[in-house]
Amino acid sequence: MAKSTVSSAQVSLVARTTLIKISVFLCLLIGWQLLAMGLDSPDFPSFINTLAAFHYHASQGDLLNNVFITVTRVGISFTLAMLLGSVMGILMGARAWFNIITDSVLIILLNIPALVVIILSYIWIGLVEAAAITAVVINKIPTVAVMLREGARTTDPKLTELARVYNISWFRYLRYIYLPQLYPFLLAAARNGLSLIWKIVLVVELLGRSDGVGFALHSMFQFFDIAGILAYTMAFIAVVFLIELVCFKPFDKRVQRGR
Amino acid sequence: MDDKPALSININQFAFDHDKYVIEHIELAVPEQQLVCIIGPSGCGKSSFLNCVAGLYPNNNAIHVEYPNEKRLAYIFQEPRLLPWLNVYDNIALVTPNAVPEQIYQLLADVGLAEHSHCYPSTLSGGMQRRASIARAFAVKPTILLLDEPFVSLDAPTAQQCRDVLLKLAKLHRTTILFVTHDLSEALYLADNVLFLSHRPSRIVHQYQPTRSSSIEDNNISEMKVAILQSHPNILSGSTT
Repeated sequence: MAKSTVSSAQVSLVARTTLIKISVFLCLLIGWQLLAMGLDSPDFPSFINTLAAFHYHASQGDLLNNVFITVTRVGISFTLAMLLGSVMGILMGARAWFNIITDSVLIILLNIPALVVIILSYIWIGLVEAAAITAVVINKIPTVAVMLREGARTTDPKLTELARVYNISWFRYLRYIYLPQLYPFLLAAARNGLSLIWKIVLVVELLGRSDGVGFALHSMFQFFDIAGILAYTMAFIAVVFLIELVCFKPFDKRVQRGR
Repeated sequence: MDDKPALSININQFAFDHDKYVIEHIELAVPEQQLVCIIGPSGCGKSSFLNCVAGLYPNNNAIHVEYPNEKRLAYIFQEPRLLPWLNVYDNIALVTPNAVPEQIYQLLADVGLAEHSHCYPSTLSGGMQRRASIARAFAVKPTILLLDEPFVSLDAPTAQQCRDVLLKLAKLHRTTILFVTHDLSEALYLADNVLFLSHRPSRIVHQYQPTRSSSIEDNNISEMKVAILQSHPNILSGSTT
């Protein structure tokens, strides 16, 4: 199959966009450094001091280990929430009877405070890993389901007719016709979901785990280690950027293809 | 061309759910390799008729369609219905997963899109999109091809180009065609047999077998109109009862 060529104009546009993004990032760091130098307060450490704290926690402390544990929890919770939420949302959008049955449950789940779910999970299941994951998944499923329900409602019945007329197999229909229509909704749910899951996982760790970033932040809060807290936040942001770059951006590019 | 029917259609009192009838009665046997045009007023149920034949209303007892021979069905809809996220080649490959690439490239060459196999539908003109949908239809080597006013929004030269591509491929693949249109000139240019439908609930009110002419302008429409109007005074407005 012939490959599409990338023009020099497109390359130049990407280079320019990247340059702008890096410039904004550098401006933020410089602004942070200057503000910290101006305030000269132990409660507002500079970027340089935070970098030093990052180096200390990464080499001497448990930063990498804690980040790894949290990322693992986020990964498991995210995968489960996306799978279950997507199936639930698609069924709700595609089948009216399923929507009638589950709509009230969805509204309840959407509005129960995350903290209540976390506490109840720990009480009912115990202070174990499964409780932590369950709490995060239950908190996230409704928002994924809502987005995918809207997506399933906007799928084009004319394309389903096309599949029926041309005897396209169920698998090919799902892969090439149905799911591509849901990709923009899946992507939005994934981006939104990941940001929410990060936050919930930290609360879950803070309340009932003895490891992970949430637990580490709680410990540093006890000692007013602001530079440590910011160092963990930096690690956190780095991981988020990495996920965006490795997972979401390529998927986004694929979703936008031809649209 | 022999007169053995490629498909037999019998639709009697077809309606959506418990609504009013859309089709009163249409009984039709289409001989193999014939091109039958169905013409009728707007809203008379022409598209519903094609959808019935295509099997898009399953479990409806009013519809009886039989394919005495092998059934390979293709449908070119009013809009091209190309998947925007697949390029032209992949849109065609989607309906024929077992086809070798050479077959698809040959079809693309036949419709004049050999250079555009990697293009996405959004980058093609309306005429090119129609030709891509024609190529997709012929990719399944159809024994029966249904077309629902496929060239309606195209400018005259592009529409004519598409008609010629259709006739060429239909002859090549020995395809039996049901072609819905509201354009009498188009019907006369393409068809072996033209069926006129009445208003809703529709039924066949007249049949006409034109002689193929070399161009769409050559059709003696006026003469035919006079002949039809003498027998059915209101037929072209669809109000014949």
